[in-house]
Amino acid sequence: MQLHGWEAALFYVLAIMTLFMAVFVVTARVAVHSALFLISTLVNVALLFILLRAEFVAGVQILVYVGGVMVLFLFVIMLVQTRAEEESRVRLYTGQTWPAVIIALLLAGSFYFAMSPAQAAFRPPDATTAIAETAERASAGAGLNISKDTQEVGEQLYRQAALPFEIASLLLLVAMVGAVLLARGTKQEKYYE
Amino acid sequence: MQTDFQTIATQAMQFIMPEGILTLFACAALVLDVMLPRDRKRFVAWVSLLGVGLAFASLWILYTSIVSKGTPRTAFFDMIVLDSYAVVFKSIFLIGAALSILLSIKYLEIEGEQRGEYYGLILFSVIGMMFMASSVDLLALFISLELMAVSVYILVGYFRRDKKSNEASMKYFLLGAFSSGVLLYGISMVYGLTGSTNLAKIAAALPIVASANFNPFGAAAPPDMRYLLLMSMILMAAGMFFKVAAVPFHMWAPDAYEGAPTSITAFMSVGVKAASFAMFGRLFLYGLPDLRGSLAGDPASGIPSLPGWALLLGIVSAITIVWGNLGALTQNNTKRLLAYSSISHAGYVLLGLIAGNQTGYTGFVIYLFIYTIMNLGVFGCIIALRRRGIVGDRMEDLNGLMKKAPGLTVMMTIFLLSLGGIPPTAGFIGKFYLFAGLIETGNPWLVRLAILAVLMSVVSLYYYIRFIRAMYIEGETEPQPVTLAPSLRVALVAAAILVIYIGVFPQRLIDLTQKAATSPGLKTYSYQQGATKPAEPATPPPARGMPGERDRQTATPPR
Amino acid sequence: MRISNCESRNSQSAIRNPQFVMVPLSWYLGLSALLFTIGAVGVFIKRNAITIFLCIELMLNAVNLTFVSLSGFFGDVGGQLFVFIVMTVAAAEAAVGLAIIISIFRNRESLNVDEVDTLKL
Repeated sequence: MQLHGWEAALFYVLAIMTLFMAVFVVTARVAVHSALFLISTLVNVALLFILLRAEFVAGVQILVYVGGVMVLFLFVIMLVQTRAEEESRVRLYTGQTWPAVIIALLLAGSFYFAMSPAQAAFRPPDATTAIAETAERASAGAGLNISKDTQEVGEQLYRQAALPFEIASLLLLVAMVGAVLLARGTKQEKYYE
Repeated sequence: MQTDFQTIATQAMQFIMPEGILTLFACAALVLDVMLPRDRKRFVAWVSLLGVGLAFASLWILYTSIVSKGTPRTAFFDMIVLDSYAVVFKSIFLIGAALSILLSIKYLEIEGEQRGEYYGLILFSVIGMMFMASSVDLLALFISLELMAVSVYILVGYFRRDKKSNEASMKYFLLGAFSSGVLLYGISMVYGLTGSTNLAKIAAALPIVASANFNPFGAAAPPDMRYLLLMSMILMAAGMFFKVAAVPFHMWAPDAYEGAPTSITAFMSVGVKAASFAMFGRLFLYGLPDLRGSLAGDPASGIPSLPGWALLLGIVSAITIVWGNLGALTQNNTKRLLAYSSISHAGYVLLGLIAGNQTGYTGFVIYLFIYTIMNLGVFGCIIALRRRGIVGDRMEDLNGLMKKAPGLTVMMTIFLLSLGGIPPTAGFIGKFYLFAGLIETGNPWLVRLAILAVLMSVVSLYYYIRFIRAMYIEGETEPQPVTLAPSLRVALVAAAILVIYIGVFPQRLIDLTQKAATSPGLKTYSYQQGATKPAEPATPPPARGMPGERDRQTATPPR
Repeated sequence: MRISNCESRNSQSAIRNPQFVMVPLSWYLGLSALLFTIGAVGVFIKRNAITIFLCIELMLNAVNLTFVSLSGFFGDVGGQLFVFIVMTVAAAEAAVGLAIIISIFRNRESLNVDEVDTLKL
């Protein structure tokens, strides 16, 4: 999949935003800020999904991640926040700065060195093939702007991925039972018994 | 569309019958918990035990009617496969679950935490494990791994008024989630390299991607995908090392094992470990067999050849065996000690994957089978020491046990000797196959690895004998008597009999595990120099018992 | 990359100006590798359990980005199915993880992982 024109420009903007927000997630002093920065990272990634014509997962990302998981995070942070982090005397980081730097360099470096010899497999050597292809697509699907993505994902989800989907339902049941089991207080337990 | 659902309803459903039965009983356990009064909750344990028994029966029916009759069958659009490998591992999990449930009943009553959710969660995690053993698709493998892991995170924190249990749960959870992330990144790279999440398709595509003339877009300078392949392999291996607690990623194990309820420690140390190894085997033996030996380069044009996962696993297992055994020497808390001992056992099991021959694979499966029984036995004995006011996880709590409970002491001795690998017990059979597999390869480095493993299992005897010394020689430090609850007694006696029986008459188990080790798809390798055969490209795996010998050590191009 | 049909990419991208910049797949992969690295570093250096967990979510999102971009490149929805499952797992893990954090908080008033020291490392 190749992007052209304004889409490409949008990609660069979103990519830079995503990276900055991700760095802020790590450096933010207060947990609530971290969570808010993560939310904006997630929204940016969802927009990148839309650029990739994956509307379904983009929607799920916004609804489930931002709307569900992150709101849960914010609730819990507000419930348990001791607000100690806001004071500057509290150490925010573990003393493992150097190991972390080494890990970062190691990871990023090995990604780079692993990916660079494989470059030629990632894109056609010249742009003409891609352009011809997209032009052909455009003529074939003229006037048909509705993406088939959601339909395809849905079909495959209930066909090829039927079993993992069922296992996922068990996983959600377990998570629900576990959350109730772990988070209820002694008082609530007495009440139910 | 119609036909898809018909196939699922009529044929595929019977393949997941054991898991289906367990799901029903797990849900029943959750519901029964609400209906039963507080002092009747132990009924749930018996119901879940019945579920495990029925699942075992249906697994047996599947085995005799389908698996033992011919080639393995896949179901759910190649998501799961039903072969001997899956069946043997599933029976390991079911035996482990049944013993763990028996161990838990009295223990939870003493702790005052007898609730139905506990048994429900154990059954759910067993369902995850069983799917892990039979999945041949990364999608199904991953989701079932998570089903198991999430259930166990909850179970580790089950005593939620106990700070240790909370913290163990948090550490285990954070590191587990991190390792899932690492594993997933590796999976995503493999998907990118091969275009599929199905292990058979991945295995078929790997030699093409790794070969020098792979050039999908006809670029002037052909891409070299081997570095990416290696990186994805390393990330997946790192994720799996976390799950099996192999050394660079073992630090969660002692804490999680110590803080968790003892019955859950027992369950974790066998069930989670065996399931992770089942997945490890599926991933590496079915999915990435061609990354095993060195990835041939082209010396003419200066492309170096790269080492494969056999080297990585070899180094990790050597460190794991040494570190686990040395770490166990200085421990005074029995749960922590057994955590280190189980780390070292993970190293031993890895040897079976490294050997890469029939004997090694047999050792891999048989050792996990035996380890499940003997380790549950040891933990059962420690659970027996939990009495009113005594936690029972210090070494001193074992003092003078011989005078108080001779039967328990004898059984504990059997389990400990088996863990140490002393001959008349089952542990010896397992270790024998693992070490023999390595020596059979004839590769000097692998033979050295086997010698190291033997030496370290001699070292391990030191700390197992510390237990025995405390039980037989030391005088008793506290007078409170030790009594065995009936359910615990049943579990311990059954485990002890099995350990001795397998040790003396191992043939039936060996036959069964050899079938698993020769499941189609498990490729075997020869390390003999000069036995170069052309690497058969991505064709269907060799027929059962007829391993295609391939030489992955030499960089000689195929004829 | 994909062996069988490299060509069958489902790009519905209507082409506007072919001479303009193009974004190849490797940029997406690089972006997700960087996101993953940031997340992993965060896991190592942060002390607060919740923030560590947030960094793990960052890592999972890097994985999702890889899957979606590859799936677009191949024109295969397999990657998107994986993303769907990963999101389910993330949601389940969040529920359980936050419940664990709450149960710790009930017993003690700190969430810093190195103050969680009943168990020695």
